[in-house]
Amino acid sequence: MGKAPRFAYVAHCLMNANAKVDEWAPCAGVHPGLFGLLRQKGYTIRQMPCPELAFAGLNRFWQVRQQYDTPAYRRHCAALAEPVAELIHQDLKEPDAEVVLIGVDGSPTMGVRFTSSGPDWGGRPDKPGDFDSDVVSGKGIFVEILLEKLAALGVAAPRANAMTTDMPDGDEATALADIGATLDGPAS
Amino acid sequence: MKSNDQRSRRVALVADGVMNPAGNDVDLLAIVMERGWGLIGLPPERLGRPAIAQWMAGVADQVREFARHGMTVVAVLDAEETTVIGELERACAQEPAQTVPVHVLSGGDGGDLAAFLDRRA
Repeated sequence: MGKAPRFAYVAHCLMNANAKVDEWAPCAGVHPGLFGLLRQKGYTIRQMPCPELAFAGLNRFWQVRQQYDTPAYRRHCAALAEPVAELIHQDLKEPDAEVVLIGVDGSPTMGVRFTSSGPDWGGRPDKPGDFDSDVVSGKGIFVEILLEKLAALGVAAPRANAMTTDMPDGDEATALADIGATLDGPAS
Repeated sequence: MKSNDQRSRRVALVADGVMNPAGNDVDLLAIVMERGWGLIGLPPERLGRPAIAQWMAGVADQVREFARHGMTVVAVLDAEETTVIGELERACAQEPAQTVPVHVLSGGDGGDLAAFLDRRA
């Protein structure tokens, strides 16, 4: 009997650092640690789109969730999330299939457990110095909308975890170990 | 861009079969990755035309943004994935049209893919 199919839906920038917000690309292209983990554990990799890239452009600076939380950005995310939700729905039709979502904590768009918040943060031009925002519990806007699309299709929220490359003091080894546990799934 | 930013400024659109090779297939993704290219993974053919078209509209917008900033963008495609190829072409042909150099896989050991990438690095 073959192994149950496993699918990892991965935030775009974890497979393509070229899409990262200006100054925040931690590697040339593919995040090697995460990629190796996904391959080691036998996951089919599905790369999600980067909503921020096409909407705010390559030279965007680091923004908070409040700045992206507009009707136009939500429509943009919804258009991108729809075929992703459809593919998750299809993947889960395979017998015993598992789907895991891997986001980027601290991201206003791809956060899974944490997102960025700063009601007063306007942007780089008038806010020199440190990033004037907080990391708060909550999901990024794309992740939130994707889960809504899945719910509309009758699909339960998949297991989810996130890299912490956008978190203050995010530790890569800890994040990968934590993601590894999520990929393994609940102990039976 | 600060000096600690490590992006390669090279992006490869890759067919699902490249991102997720079957058991005995040559791991062509290793050839792409070891050269530092970032990836845009394309959906599998079985997703179906309407959803693939919607997915490709988003891919094409990302490609335009990378190209507008002078990044190198290529596509590594599987000739058998005709819907994916057709919808990618259709999406990239929308205004502003964006041409993407394409390498169609031919079942070799990856030497031709490596040469294709190296010519554009």
